[in-house]
Amino acid sequence: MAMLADRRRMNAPPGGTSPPVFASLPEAKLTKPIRTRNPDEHRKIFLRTGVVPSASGSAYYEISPSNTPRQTLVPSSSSLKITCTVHGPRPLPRNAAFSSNLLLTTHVKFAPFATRQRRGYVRDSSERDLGVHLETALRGVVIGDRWPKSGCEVVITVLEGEEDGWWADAEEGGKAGSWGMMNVLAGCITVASAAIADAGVDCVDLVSGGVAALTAERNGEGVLDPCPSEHDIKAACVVGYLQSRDEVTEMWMKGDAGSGSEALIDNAVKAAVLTRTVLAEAVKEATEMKIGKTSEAAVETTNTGKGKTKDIQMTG
Amino acid sequence: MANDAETGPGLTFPQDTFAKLTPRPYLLAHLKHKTPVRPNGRQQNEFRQPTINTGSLTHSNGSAVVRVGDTAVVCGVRGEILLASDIPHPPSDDLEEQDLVEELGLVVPNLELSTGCSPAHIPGNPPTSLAQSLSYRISAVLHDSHCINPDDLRINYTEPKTEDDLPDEPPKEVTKAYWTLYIDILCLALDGNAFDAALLAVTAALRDTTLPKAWWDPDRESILCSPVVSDSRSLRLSTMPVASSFAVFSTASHLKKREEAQSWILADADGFEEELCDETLTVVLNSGPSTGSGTTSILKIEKTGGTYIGKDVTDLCVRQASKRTSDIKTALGNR
Amino acid sequence: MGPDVVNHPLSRADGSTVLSNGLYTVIAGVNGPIEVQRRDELPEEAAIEVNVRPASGVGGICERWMETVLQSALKSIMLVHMFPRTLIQITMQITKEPSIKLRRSLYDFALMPTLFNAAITCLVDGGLPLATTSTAALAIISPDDQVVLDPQEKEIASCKSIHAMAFSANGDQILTQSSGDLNHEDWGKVADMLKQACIAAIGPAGEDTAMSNGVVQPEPWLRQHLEDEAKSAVRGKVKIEAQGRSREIRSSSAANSKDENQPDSAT
Repeated sequence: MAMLADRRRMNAPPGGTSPPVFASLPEAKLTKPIRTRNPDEHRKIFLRTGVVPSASGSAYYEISPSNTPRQTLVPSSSSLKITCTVHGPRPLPRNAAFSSNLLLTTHVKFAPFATRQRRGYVRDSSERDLGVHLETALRGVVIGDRWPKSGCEVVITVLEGEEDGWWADAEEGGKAGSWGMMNVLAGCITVASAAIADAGVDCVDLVSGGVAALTAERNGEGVLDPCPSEHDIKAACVVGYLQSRDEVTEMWMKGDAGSGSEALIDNAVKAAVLTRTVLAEAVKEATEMKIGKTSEAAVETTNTGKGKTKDIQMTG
Repeated sequence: MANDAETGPGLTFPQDTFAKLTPRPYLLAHLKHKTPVRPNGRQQNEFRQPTINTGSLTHSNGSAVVRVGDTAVVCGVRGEILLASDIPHPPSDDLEEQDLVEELGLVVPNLELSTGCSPAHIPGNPPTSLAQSLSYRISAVLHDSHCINPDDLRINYTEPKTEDDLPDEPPKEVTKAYWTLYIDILCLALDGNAFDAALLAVTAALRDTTLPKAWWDPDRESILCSPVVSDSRSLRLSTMPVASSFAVFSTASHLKKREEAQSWILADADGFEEELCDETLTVVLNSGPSTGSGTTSILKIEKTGGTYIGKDVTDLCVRQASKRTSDIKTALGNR
Repeated sequence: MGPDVVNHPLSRADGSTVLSNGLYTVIAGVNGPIEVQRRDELPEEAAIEVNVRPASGVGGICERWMETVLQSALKSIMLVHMFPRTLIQITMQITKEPSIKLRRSLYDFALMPTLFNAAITCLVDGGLPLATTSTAALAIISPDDQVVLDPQEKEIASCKSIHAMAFSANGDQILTQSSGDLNHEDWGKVADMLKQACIAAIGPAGEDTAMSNGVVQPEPWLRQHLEDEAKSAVRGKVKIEAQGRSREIRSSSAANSKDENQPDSAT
């Protein structure tokens, strides 16, 4: 258990620790959560831009948790909480090679407390994988040739991740495909799109992420926005979709969809359309606020002379 | 510098351009004004008011989100179990009870700045010196204040009587394991004074922390926990440390005479001011856990850089910090 | 009573000292002004880099913290504007530590003055200009509320609070690190006593600072040391770096004279 000591951080006690193991008690009966919304209904999304003022652009995305009171200390399911900041476009360092396009780098990291198992501090392969998927989703959206010799960083911190299945199933040695990752990726695409719009980087359209799944419960019929702890997922698909151009920039399918794969993709696109309405709303709201602010500021600068607004005059 | 008449088509430019081009004269102009006000609109001794939310993270035993102006910090506390048999060097018997937490390393705070919180901190890189210093200072405050009671972290087991035991001897209680608290602090947005906000997030998250009831299962030879909420107990912080930081903006320079230097103390400096200040003072006050209870004592006074803060200035800052501390406690208590 | 200082133990560093007091021994070396990496370069002043190496193992977050604190304290007394776009690199290796185990923060606080003094003496040895002479000292408040200057390790282990402070020759407070359970008045008392002790270490012996309410004043060890060093440099024992030396003599003697803080503009 003992991990290699990291000399840049506080380390765990030398003996090594293990996560708590919960006893199964009759008074704390665990029930698998059941999907109460319609198969074609998305969970409520909260999306807001401009949460990190020091960044060029930023956004926060949350799928509101279900409001059932907690009976046990073990959460039955978790919801998504993602923040995204965009830095740039800014000039590339002098020693970097010439690039005629905007260099987009993406960076996805889970917080140590984001999942049931504590995450490490260094990015693991799944996080790097998410970064690559996100980059492909965004690259087709940003108009890169307007920003030669520039770089733009998209940094995502997942404060709370979706689970891969109902945890009690997983504990009994059941299947635990990384279905939660698909929901996380869809969230990442949507939140990054909002943050890029907030940063004012030119895009051809807003890209939104959507997930659909084929579940064992409803044979053949797919569901939009599956919450992995509520379903027994057979196959799932996530897309990054540009609605106004009807283009898919990123697609990731997993599991055995059989002949239903096309329907699955269509469903994922439907889910992306649903998230797009939230995305467009958030971006519109933020833009309206910005315009309001600049016009206010314009009024203020014309009234200089008194107050604390000091303009400087250069002479000579 | 400030022109009051808009004469001719001179090159005038708005405030934020002034601030970006020549930050020093910009701040100086504000502080030297007849009614001095900092560029962020605050008075010299005015702190930003924090907003505190707790318990929003599902997978943490305790969590808090603290927003102080444009600095936002989220902190999650997670308990894991350290078996006493795994401890390579068991603590000696003469160890003072209150130092047990530090000796065993039962509190592991880590602060992360590379979350894209500001353009200065590159994501994906290992923690910078600043991040490492902040982690160290937070752990020092937690250890030196003895705010976590080691008894809250013990998992005890009463050994059953064996035939060898004398019949009238009381049953022996041994500590089979300890809770280890991983305190992860993520700075989501940074606009100066990360330490105050981070420490506030840590104390708020620790106050919110509940640990499940745990016991030693002799058959399984391991620790089991109860998932029932009513069995769990919350961590009782015995004291509450609150930090108040100040920065000094000074015109002092080795090229100038000593007497010509002017200095201003800025409470709770934001990112713009922090860039221009070399001298900082942090006062950590330690007091009883709830509003109005217990006496306040000074836990730490840390000052470095510059030469302005002497004894008198420190006195002044300690007084301001004690006012600040009661404000913070009210904010925490009203939650 | 002051620490033992050995000059120039490292022949290849620009300046170096071994400083030992009852608690710690530290070897300090300085190189500078040297070429600076582009990302650390400052257009108008020299960048200062401080490295602290623990007695055993590699440095951790605690050493990073000490480096940041020392770096900003040293920056305020070094004449960094004289060497723009260069680097001054100070490395300190702890070679001896207290024999009994101290709590982490007590260990670190007790170490702080030793590191500061070692840095100052090695900067002087390296001929790097300082705005003022400055020295650090350690004090604790014992459980029976007595202030103890230069405490023994046993006294540190049982102390109520611990204080490391540095003062310049004109009484400016350069560094304060206080920790423990303390109140306002006690802190003021400690600050006054440490200030006196520091000034006494710098100031000429036998002056008014020497007598104060029965407390034994430490000898002006830093002044003694600087004078010795200046003498040996004048005698031409160290032929190499003669130029650097002469600058250092001037800067250290300027700092010791009454009107400090005037940079030696002659250089």
